[in-house]
Parts: sequence; C-alpha cells; structure tokens
Amino acid sequence: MSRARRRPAPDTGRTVDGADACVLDEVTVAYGGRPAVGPLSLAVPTGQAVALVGPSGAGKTTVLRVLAGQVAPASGAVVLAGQDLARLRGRRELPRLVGLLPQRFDLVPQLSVRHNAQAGALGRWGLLRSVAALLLPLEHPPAADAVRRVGLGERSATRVADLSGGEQQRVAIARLLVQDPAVLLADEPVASLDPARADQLLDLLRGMARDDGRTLVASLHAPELARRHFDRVVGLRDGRVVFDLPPAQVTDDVLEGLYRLLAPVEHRPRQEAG
Amino acid sequence: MTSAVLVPVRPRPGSRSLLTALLVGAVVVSLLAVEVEGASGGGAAARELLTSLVQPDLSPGFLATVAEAAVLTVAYAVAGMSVAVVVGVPGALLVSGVLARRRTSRAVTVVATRGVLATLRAVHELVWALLLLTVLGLHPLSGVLAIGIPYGATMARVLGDRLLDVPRAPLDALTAAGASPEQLLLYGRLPLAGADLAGYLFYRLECAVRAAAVLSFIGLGGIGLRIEVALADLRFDQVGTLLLALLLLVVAVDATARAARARLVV
Repeated sequence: MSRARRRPAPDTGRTVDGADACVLDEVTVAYGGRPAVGPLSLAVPTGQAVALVGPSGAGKTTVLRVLAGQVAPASGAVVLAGQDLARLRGRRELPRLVGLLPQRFDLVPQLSVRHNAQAGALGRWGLLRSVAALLLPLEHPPAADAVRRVGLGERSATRVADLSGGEQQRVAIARLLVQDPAVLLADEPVASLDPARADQLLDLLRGMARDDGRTLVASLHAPELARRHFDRVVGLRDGRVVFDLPPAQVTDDVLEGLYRLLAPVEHRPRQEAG
Repeated sequence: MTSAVLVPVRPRPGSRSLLTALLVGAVVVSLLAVEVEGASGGGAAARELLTSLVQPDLSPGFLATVAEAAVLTVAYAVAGMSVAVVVGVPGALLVSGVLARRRTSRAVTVVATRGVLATLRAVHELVWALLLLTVLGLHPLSGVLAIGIPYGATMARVLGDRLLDVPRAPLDALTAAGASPEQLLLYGRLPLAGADLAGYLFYRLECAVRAAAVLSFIGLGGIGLRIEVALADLRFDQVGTLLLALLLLVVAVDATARAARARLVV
C-alpha cells in the first residue's frame, strides 16, 4: 500500500550538502564536565544503513541520543534534513525527522499494544483525537498496519505488560513506524535476542528503511551482524571514529584493533580531576 | 581508572544522632503530657458493652432503622467523595504542574495551589462540619461539603504526587514522539499511575464512610446519630448492632475495591 511512498519531504531545499539525512559536525558531548564524545564528525546520506560498533562506553548510545535531539552537544552542530537540530528541539516536526528505538523499549505497560503503537501519532494528533483514540474502540489504520507489520496483529488488544521482551520490542518498533520518522535510530536493537531472532529483527529494520526510503543508524555490539546487514560500518572508541568502512573492508584485524583492551593507536591521556 | 577498593560509607556522625535524640525526646515528652490518671472506674460499663456486642439487638424493627441509617451514611460518603473528586482532580493537575508548558507559570500555579490545598487540608472534617453548620444550618449539604472539601484537598495532594512519581523513560519516549503535556497525561502518567490511583480512591471511600458515621453525631442522621441515641438510652445491644453495621459497610467497600482493582489491572 504505502510502498515506495515518498514522505512530504521536510523541506530539503536548504540542504547544504546535497542528500545527507543527518550530519554530525565536530560534535562533542560532556557528562558532568568530563568529555564523553568527540570531536566527532559523521555524514549519513539519505537511505543509507549505518552500523555503529565499538566496545562498551565508546559513546554509541550518546551519539544516537545526540542525533535524536535528546542530548545537546557541548559544541559542534547536528543537521537533520538540512536543518539545525538546535532549532528543531521541542518543535512538532522533529518526530517526523528522527525517531529513536531505545535499548529499553520505554513502553507504557498498562496500555494495549494498539494504544502504545498509536502513541507514535500523538505529535500529529490534537487533544480530542487523542482522547477518542484512547477511550473509544477506534482503529487508527496506520497503527493497525504497523502492528501487523511487526507480526503482532493477533495481539493488538493485549496489554504490553503481558508480552515477552521480544514482543515488547516489536511494539516499540510499531510505535516508531507510526511516528514515521525520516531517520530511524536503534540503540542495540539485538542486545537481548538469540542469533536467529537478531537476523530477523535486523531484516525488519532494514526493510522499514528500504521500503519507505528511510535512513537507518543502529548501534550493535556484534560486528558480524553489522557486516552482514548494513551498508557502512563505523567503529567508535572513546567517543571518536576509529574507522569508517564498507562492510567488506571490515576485516578481523580492523575489529581486533577496535576491541583490544589497551588501544595502542588511540591511547591518549584523559583529563580527569584528582 | 582510579582505585577499585571499596571503602565503607560512613554517615556524618553529628547530624544523625542529633535527629535521633530529638525524635526520642519528642516521644517521651508526648507520653508524659497525656494524663493517664482519672480514667479508671469504667470497668463495669466496659464489661456490659463488651457482652452486648456479642448479643446485638436483631429485632426486625431496629434492623430497619439500622438499614436506613446505613444507607444514609453511605449516601453521605459517596456524595462527599464526589465533591472530593471535583475538587481533587483539577487540584492534582494544578498542584503537580503536569500540564504547565512554561517553567515560570508552572512554579506560580504549583506554589499557589499548594498553599490553598494546605489551608483546606489543615482543617479536620469535623471542624469543617461545625463551620458549615454555622453557615448553612442543619442541611445535608453541610455534611457532604464537610467531607468533600478536606478530602478533595488531600486527594489533590496525593494524586498530584502519584502523577509525578511515574517512571521517567516511557514519558521521555512519548515526548520524543511529539506528545503534548495533555497527551502525556493521557497516554503516560494516568495509565502508569493507574492501579495506584484506583486503589487510593477506594481507600478514601472507606475513610469517607467512617467520617460520615462520625459526622452524623452532630445531628445529620446516619449510623453515628443512632449510636449516640442508643448510648444515651444505655441500649448497649443496639450499639452492638450499629457497630457491626459499620464494620459490614467498611468490609463491603473493601471487597468492592478489591474486585474493581482486579478488573482494572494485574
């Protein structure tokens, strides 16, 4: 139905650098005065699927949250569809530009699958419609589609609290589909899945990106999944880009350098109090 | 990074023991302040009261009176709770500031509402009843408002706290999806606090039944008034019947609450 649909493009006329869906330009992030990320630059063309890999604490989640507008960078700029994210924060068009699938799915367990999925549309709904959708037995077709697409069509009236962890994650994906952002971000989407399900889930995310012309940026702890499912693999360590390669060039040597406990190349003194 | 040795956490010694001493002192002083002497000599009456409790007056005529009084008491409780909800729900939204869009307007409404609610709450329902009797006379509305006003103020405070005290992460996800404060309330705060809210409302209904029974002492009719009359007539068997009726009412409210909670969640 909605295949190959081009979204009413969030005004890309002012895009400086052509078809980049999101750009990080010399971004740094500090937590409690301590530098956590950067300076880091990354440009992702529209429609590309990028995997962020790297050891724990490399800053993968922080990079995603910066792109989602949930963490403000200490310096540098974030550009989404040609617009400065700093000016988009809190605005109603932001949910259409970018959406994050969090590591813990952050659903409302007391509500049904259907209502959780519908919540993705809240940014476009007025108050009356939100109340009606919550209290009346009405179906929002895009939400019903999304729930079917993630394979929960039979369970749309089930309370989310009664679902398994894997099913809850698919509810969160359905909510993101309803939200309908141009850039999909996913934080460790396969962290708690067995290998077969991990492949299945990444296929689903890739499908969501490809079919609807979305851009996908996901963090992954398993580099072999990144090589298999993504167009581009970016290695992060200590908040910086260590490598940025097409999957075929991500060799075991490259990965070993990324994950080795004492990095010989990237070792640099940290400014710490005390 | 730095050393990974675990060091026991020691509380600051001074402040903690000072607080303990203050609290113990307060308890001792209040125990000494209450006069215990002079309360003796009721032994015989107490024995008579206790035996009559197990031999209640179950004559049909009196049972009809008790039933009427019980219905009246419940009516006062339910009407009072309705007023309390009308006061409490808007009060909760204002005092928690969950619908405020700007930080300054939130601060102003929160502080102002908190002051009003604290004033309403500071006065006990029995005192409210006496005040309202002076203003409205011996009218049922006096009883209803006497329960509704202080209960509404307490409800606003408690509901407001519950609406704020919900997990942060689901709310952040809804905000990221573009939800306004009102939508956040409907799709996030209310369902997340849901079971707590319903449980609290039923608990307060139970309190309202007891309060209504007490309030009827001042002449508004109901179980309290009947207890007063029976005590004056030294009809301890009737007092027994009335106390049992009150117990039944509270148990019934509790059972309804359980049933409703089971249907609502879990």
